[in-house]
Amino acid sequence: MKKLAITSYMARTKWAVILIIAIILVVFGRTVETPSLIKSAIVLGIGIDYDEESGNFDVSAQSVLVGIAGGQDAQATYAMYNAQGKTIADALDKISRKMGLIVSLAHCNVLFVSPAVLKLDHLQLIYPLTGMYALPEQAILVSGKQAPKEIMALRLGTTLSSPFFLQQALTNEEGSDGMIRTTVKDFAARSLSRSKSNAIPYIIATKMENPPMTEQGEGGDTYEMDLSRALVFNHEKDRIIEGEYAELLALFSSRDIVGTLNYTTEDGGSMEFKILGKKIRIKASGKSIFADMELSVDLSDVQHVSTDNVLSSADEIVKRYANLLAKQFEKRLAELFETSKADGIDFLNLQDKAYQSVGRTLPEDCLDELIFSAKVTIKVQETA
Amino acid sequence: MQNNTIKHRLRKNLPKNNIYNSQAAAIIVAVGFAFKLSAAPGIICESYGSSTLWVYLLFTAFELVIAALTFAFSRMNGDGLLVAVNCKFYKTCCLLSSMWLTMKIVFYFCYCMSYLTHELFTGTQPFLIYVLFLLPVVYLGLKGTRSIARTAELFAVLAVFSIVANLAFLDTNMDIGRNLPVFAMPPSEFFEKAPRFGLWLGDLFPFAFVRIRNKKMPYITTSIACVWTLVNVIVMLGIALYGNALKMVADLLIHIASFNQLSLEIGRMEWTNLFMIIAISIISMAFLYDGANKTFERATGSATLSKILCPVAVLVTALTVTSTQTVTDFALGIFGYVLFGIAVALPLFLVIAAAVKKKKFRHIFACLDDEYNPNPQITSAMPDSENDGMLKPFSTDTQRAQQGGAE
Repeated sequence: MKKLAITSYMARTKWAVILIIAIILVVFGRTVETPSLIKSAIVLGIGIDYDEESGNFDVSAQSVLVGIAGGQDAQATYAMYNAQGKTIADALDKISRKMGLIVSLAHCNVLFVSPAVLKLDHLQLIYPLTGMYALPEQAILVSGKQAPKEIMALRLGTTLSSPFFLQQALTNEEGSDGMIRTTVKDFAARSLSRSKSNAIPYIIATKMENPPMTEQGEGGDTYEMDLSRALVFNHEKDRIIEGEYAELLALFSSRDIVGTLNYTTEDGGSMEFKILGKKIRIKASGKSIFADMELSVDLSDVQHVSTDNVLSSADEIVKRYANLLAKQFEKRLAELFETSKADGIDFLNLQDKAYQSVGRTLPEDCLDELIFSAKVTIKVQETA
Repeated sequence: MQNNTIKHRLRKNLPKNNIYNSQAAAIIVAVGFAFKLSAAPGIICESYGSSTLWVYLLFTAFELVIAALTFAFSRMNGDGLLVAVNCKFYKTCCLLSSMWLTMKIVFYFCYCMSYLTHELFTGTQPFLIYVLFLLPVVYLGLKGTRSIARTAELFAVLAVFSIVANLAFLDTNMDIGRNLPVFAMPPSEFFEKAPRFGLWLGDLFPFAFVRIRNKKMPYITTSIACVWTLVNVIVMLGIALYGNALKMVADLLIHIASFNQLSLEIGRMEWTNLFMIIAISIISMAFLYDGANKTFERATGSATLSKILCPVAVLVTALTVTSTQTVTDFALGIFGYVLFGIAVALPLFLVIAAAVKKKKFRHIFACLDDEYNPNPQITSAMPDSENDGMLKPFSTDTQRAQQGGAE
């Protein structure tokens, strides 16, 4: 019988493991076609439009080119390409041929869709992008008044790339005061829920009155984007929610929210509160749904309020304004519910909650049968 | 082979087919995560929607019963006893087990290839991927249980760390309420359809043919409790994250890593779980392959045919079908009920057979000692543990079996 010393046996097993790892690394490296970075077009944002008459998708992609310049003098080069196709993949394939590069959506954090696209099957819209093209499920969906290819080609005051601006504003939450953030994953989840409805930011781009100046003089046309509206939709209908209602909807629907809230009385007194945190509990008992929203805020600014003192969070008048704001929110939430019923778009996702309570016996499209009430509490705190 | 007691009265170099309970725990981690958390949640969600978690809980209960029976059989040394008494029923069960485990490997291989090619290697020749994955599986399987256990020890720690870290940094919108209602369909339909997913039951069955040495800590019980709790928690989170859209998720474990809040700072994090799931899938399939070989050896006296047939079956199936997805679909159709029945019945039959024989052959059972040697030789060297736990059948072919054992 062959005898092996412990060290020899251990070494043999250890080498077996190393061999397996080496095989995986070496053979994968030689067999798997991994496109190099230089051969890839790193797409920052993708826009999808749909022409109902021709049945064609109009896809645009803005990519940042890698390897053109290096070092401190490196300048980002944004290239905008556009193509039509019977499917999204067909159009992306044409873009790839135009670019001479492989389209990679792995770093694309913004998906710009037109309202016409949202009438199509939502799962079929998303699945090829996340599957075949590796679009991150954390990518944010946006829509707008102008066509995706127009908005994506706009030059903004702060950056040359509008997808980059949207990425900064929505994904990294920089300067995104009260905007809804609906990721691709959330979009799919809500579309396949009982509510079948979603809410995404609706962009309106306008020409800047005073475009930025450079040493060479005034640049070309420069635009600014207004993201204060929300587009609510299901497969059949859509509607634009404006201003403070959109802000409240963002507060109700989004998980994280930053920014400020304003309350102005009839006599002109105005207070601005900075949002510190929020907690929303939505309870359903049969077809009755109750939303309990707790906001913690800090006093940010006061105007036209007659007082001789420097106001702080502890003052009664501040608490009174906060309570009035809470009452206003309750009223507006009820109005949003009535709007959703009137339009037949369950953008508050209440049917989903009712389904969790009632179960499979809940009839489809029963928004009219639901009862909704909300309680909003705003606590004024001081930040450290 | 030498017996070397090194410390804590534990042998460093265990006899063939013997592993420590800590090593068994590492295999449980690999097997528990690899198959149950990859494509399974998406596939089950397609049929069950919000009830997916509750199907998992139901299967956890079944899996607990199967695991209890499997480890009971192993602890009572049922394998040694039934081999020693040359039980015909046991041989039949082993032959059936071998076929079942071979089928499981074929189905799991196609299942893994289906989501890996979809997620990762799009545009690559499938043949290359199949061969590439099959090589380490066959190699590890041929090396035996101890090599699988030692490899699992290396990767199980990484796997647990990766999963727990990705859960700790999970940062995305979710609604736990999406796991309700419990019955998204009538209860009769719920229970009627559930056995179709029997493919995912009985992955721990090969432990029935392994001798487990105990360290002080209850590693097996702890790992089973922790792994299955974690599996159910991740499925619950999967539904909370995706709702019914979970059906579009080809691999939940990889997708969960994409919601790591660090991904905003350092880029996409899917690779953390991707690397880990490839490793534990290979270990798990090797464990099943090893189980198929052992059972075939007990049924026919030699494992050679099984060692060849198993990889050939995998390759032939993977290369002849138009899509590996069709194999998975077949396993989850009517055939799923057969797999469910076998997974539940086999461990039960084995335990009953062992209990009956134990009662009947108490004297032989008493001889089933770790240090039993049918041909003791007086030697000044350390005792040989080559035949630990092996009794030779009382039949005419005893001599032949002895020769086979010596080889």
